[in-house]
Amino acid sequence: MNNRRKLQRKIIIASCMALLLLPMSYLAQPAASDEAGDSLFEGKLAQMRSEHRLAQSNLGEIDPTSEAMKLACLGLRGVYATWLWHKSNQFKEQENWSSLAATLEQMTKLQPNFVSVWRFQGWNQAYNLSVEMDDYRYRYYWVTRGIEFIDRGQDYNEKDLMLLWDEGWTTAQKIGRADEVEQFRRMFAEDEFQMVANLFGTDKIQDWRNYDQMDNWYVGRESFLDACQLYDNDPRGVDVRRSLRQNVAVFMSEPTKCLMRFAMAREKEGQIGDNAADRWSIAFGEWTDGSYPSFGASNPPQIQRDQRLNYMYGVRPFAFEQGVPETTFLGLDAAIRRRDELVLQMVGGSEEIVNEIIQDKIDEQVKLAAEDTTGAQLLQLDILRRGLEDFDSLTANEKNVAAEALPFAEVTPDEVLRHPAVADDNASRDRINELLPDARKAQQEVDAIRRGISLVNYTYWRERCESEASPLGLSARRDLYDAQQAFNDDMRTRARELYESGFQKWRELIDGDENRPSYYRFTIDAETGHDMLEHARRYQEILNNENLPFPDDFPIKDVINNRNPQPPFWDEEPGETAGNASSQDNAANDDNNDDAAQDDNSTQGGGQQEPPGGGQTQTGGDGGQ
Amino acid sequence: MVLETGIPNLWLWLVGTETETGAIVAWSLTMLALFLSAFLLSWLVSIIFRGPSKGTRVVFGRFWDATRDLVRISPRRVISLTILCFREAIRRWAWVAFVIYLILLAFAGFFLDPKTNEPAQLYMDFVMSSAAFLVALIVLFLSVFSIPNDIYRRTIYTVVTKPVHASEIILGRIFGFSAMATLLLLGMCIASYLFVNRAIDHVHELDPTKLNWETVQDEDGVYPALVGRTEYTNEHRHDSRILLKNLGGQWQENATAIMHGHNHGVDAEFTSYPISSYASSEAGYDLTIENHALKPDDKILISPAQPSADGGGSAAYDYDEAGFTVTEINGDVVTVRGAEGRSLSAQTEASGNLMAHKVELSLTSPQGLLTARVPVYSSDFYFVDSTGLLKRAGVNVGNVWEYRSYVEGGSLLASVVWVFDGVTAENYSIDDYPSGLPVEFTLSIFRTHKGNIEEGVLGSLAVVNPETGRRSQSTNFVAKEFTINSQEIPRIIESPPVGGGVPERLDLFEDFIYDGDKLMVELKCLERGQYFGVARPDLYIAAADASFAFNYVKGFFSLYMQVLILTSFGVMFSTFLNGALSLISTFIIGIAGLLSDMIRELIGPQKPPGGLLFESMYRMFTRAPLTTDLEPGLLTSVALAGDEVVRAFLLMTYRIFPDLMKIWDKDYVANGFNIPSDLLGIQILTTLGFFIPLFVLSHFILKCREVAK
Repeated sequence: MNNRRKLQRKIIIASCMALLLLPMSYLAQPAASDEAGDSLFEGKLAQMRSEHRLAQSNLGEIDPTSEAMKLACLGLRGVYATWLWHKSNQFKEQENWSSLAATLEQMTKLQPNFVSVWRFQGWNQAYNLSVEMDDYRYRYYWVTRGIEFIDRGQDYNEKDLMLLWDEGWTTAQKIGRADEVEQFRRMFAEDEFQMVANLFGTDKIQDWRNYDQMDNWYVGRESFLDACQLYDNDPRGVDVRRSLRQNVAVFMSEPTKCLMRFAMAREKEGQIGDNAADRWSIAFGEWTDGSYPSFGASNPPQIQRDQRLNYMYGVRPFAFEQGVPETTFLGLDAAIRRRDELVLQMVGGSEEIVNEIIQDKIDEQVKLAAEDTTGAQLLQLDILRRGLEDFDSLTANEKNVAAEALPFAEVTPDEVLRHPAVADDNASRDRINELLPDARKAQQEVDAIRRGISLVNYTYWRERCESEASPLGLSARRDLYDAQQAFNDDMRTRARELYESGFQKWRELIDGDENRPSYYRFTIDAETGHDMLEHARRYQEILNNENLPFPDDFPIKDVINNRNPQPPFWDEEPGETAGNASSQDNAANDDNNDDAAQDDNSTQGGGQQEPPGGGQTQTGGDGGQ
Repeated sequence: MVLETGIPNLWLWLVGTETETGAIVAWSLTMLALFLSAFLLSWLVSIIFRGPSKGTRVVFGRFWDATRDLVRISPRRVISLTILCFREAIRRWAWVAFVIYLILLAFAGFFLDPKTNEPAQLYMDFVMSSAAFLVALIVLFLSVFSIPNDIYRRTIYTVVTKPVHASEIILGRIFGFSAMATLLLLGMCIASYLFVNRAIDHVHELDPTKLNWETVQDEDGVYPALVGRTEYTNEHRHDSRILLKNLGGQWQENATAIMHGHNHGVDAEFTSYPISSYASSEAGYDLTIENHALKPDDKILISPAQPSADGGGSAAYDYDEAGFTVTEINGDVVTVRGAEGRSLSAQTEASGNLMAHKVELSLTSPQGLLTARVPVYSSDFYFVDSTGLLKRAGVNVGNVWEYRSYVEGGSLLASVVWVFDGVTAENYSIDDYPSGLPVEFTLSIFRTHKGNIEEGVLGSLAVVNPETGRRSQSTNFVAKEFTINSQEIPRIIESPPVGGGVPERLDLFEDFIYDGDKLMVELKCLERGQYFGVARPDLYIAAADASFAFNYVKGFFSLYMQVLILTSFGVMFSTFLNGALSLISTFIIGIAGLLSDMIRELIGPQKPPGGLLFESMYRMFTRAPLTTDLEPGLLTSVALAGDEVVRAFLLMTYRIFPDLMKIWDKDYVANGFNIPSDLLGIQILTTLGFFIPLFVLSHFILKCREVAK
């Protein structure tokens, strides 16, 4: 009896198991495909994985070691990972670098698809661990480790934009703007620790070397370009774009910014000439029309122009139909046109009302500007008024000024609502209410694009590219560079002459003329301003040695005063000038801050930094996200 | 190497000092307390269940039996049971652990970072940790399931029905599984030793034709040097500066710069031939050299026959000259080709008479990776601040980890002082230390300004006799961080008289040793605004290195001791719990032992940020920040009281459970330091300290079980 019962029980259990196989098969059957790759059948879970792109293979490479480690944790992966994070902090505090590196490896094996691990720890190595070393070679070693770490993260997370962006950022900015920039750039060019070879291959390096592009800024640009391409090739809103933690305009601007920085870095090293002009010209082309012309032998990926332009900047006045010298920028232009059409419909096609609102706005601004003691705002509004009447009569400088004041000559949907003629017009109420949501949406789009323009500091960079590529700009830079070399070689008279010529050219560059706009923004930029201050100090030293007075009509006195808020150094006694190191240091610090603001999204200097995802965003300029 | 707590003298640790109780006393008292507690408890329980008379008789009877068993242990029976147990381990495939280990070693290259800057440490860490993990795991499973399985299958009756005592069964199990562990660890030790040696061994090429000439001036005069870099191998390369100094017919011994914790010796063969004449040819140059022994593909350097004179009239060897490779030989005519197509420099051609130097360079295997340094640590250590005050700690530069204190640079008085005992001419004989006392040190550098990025921070080392006020002339060095810096305190020391004057040559042992055998070493940072960070163990006198292989074995022996403790716990738990519960219990003991550092931090005098379990939970639920005081109230009081219970539990855990991290000598082996015999002795005694009571306890428990009666 007992045996019979046992048998019965076993049969029942086996039957239940067999029955359960049916729903299990329905749920968990793995995907299978025919030779052509078409899906034959797949279970519900496989379908859902595919639909929501949750399968491991959707994310990136599958690493058997990683999978084995995850299994070996027996469900305690989270606990172990937390323990590893704790240990990594402990090892860092205790300066136990090899154990820290090993712990980071384990961490990534356990959490290969947790992007923050790669971003945080890559940043940690490149920025925070590197500065713990005293020897610059070891510092560079940790920077390369950080970059390679981020790069490895991409293998496991192919659809994540920010890892590519981080790789570009660290290659370009960390190496290019560190305290040890001279040493780092030298080691980068030599590919010390073979980081570039590991990332891009030796053929690519040879290619870059052949065309003198083996430079951290240029190589960093490649990663940014890859990121932009990944963004553009992804269907909108799927996977890749969701991973963007950055303002799109800032994100898209980085490749071109790298090119500009590439040109700047090479100019600082004495490459001022056709090469520099080419680099700046190409950067200007990219910056203003979004195209990527062929550059040397390399073949940068062609990002779809229209897509890129949708997220880039642009200024096209509402009131001026034609005549603005800047290249037309489709994104903003189209958005403004959409908004204006809706605004015009809201007022029943009455251009009088629109013009009235514009005049009221300008009048209001004039009242407010009366409190401005410098008179600059009044002047700007005056130029705007004249521009509205006859844009072609403005000089090149005035056109720029007018373009900046453009929002005062625009009408927003809410301003239309407040206008008495519209507010009291009950007959048109339904039409206005119907148009209002679309008009507001169009206005939001205009605001968003403007925010992007502001974030990337568009106008400044456009002017800079233009001026740096101009013969006068190149000549001014060449004179000052040669003057510094002559000064270093103790050829004082030659240095003085070159300085005087260089300063005069800068003056001309700043002032502009009838045909060339003023590059006034350029001169207040931190880096150039600081360089000018340094040049002026050397010039003054030469004059002191030659017992010559500092000229009262020093061409760039205003620039120096702007950079050096303390009493002008030419009023100091000679002994004080040379020893004024602390003010120089302060100026240098200011430069870092200013430069960060100018570069929109940089936060790093030389010291310890908060890595991304560590409670503070990596970028300062992505407030719009 | 970081030593957060010093290594006590074995004897003092055992018997104690005036201020600290000796380990033997503490252990005896603990054992006595445990024994009395166990005895009284069982007596009480027995009285409750059996009544006073019978209960007392039973308890005393049992204790008497058990004690008699203990003293009647037969080594022969223990050996038999050990063999039986060992066979059981083999039958249960324990050796698979060794196979898995070999597979791990074979594929280690896939997951060990080849770019690490401390390869020896990484490899040692891997081989020793994986060995410990595998052996502990396998022995753990064997030990905890052995007795419960025997009882379940009733196979234990085949043993207990024989005239064996419970104590012998326990010993047999522990020794049997330990023997298995010994065999596994021995195999792993040999395999991993070969693996580590092979994994980190590498040589770099150093191409003579890519080296540059340089002039060097030192006490031996002015002579040339060749400067360059090795080829990139094993993810790194070394800077190299070969001093071409011929000392009594022997070229000076050279070595590359340290990179990734090691350097390579450079053997340089340097043969010079005068060039009678030369002419440029399509292939490069045709040199006429009489009586040469050059062969095709030889690397040669060409230089003026006489060094040029620098501005001060001294010889200058800074020739702007690349190397050449011999392509063809026709008698005295040697055709050479310049490296990368370069030709003779105008400077060389202008000099007229030329010399050809055949250069053969070979680099040795890595030096400094697999060593067993024997450091002699100081007996006293203090800082002197910039005002001349003596302090136990230096400046805190803001590091969370306060192991190292910092000394200010560029100050006349600020310094760090180490005092060594036992420094006598007998202890450091001229035969063993012919030129002086080797001193090694590790520094941390903190810069408050960039300074010279290309160069390290300058420091100086001097010896001082506080009794006579004599101070040696400082030896300056460029500090290298996270690397062992080596200096030598010479036997004959230049020292200016107190108050200044012409330096005199003094004897280290006669003029700088005070109080009979004390030596004071003073370290300074010479650059203003920069700081050196040091701890007491960071500077030591380097005695002759011990054998690395033996040190490696000692490292594995520490693994064995850990395994023995875990086995003892496993067997003890298995005498009264089933296999699964024994496994979990032993596992918890092991984890607690490995986390002992963390537990110590939690129960330390400084409350952890956010409190322990209940306070941190309360803070999470109320979103209270970690650092603010909690609002007084009932819940706060409950949370704090709960934490006190947790703290008591952790304290008990910490005191009773073995601190396995203290029996773990991996760091010594990995960092290239000899495991001190005092430390090894303490670890052996600690292991015995756990083994003995666990064995006794297991014996008593098994005795109380019906199966063993």
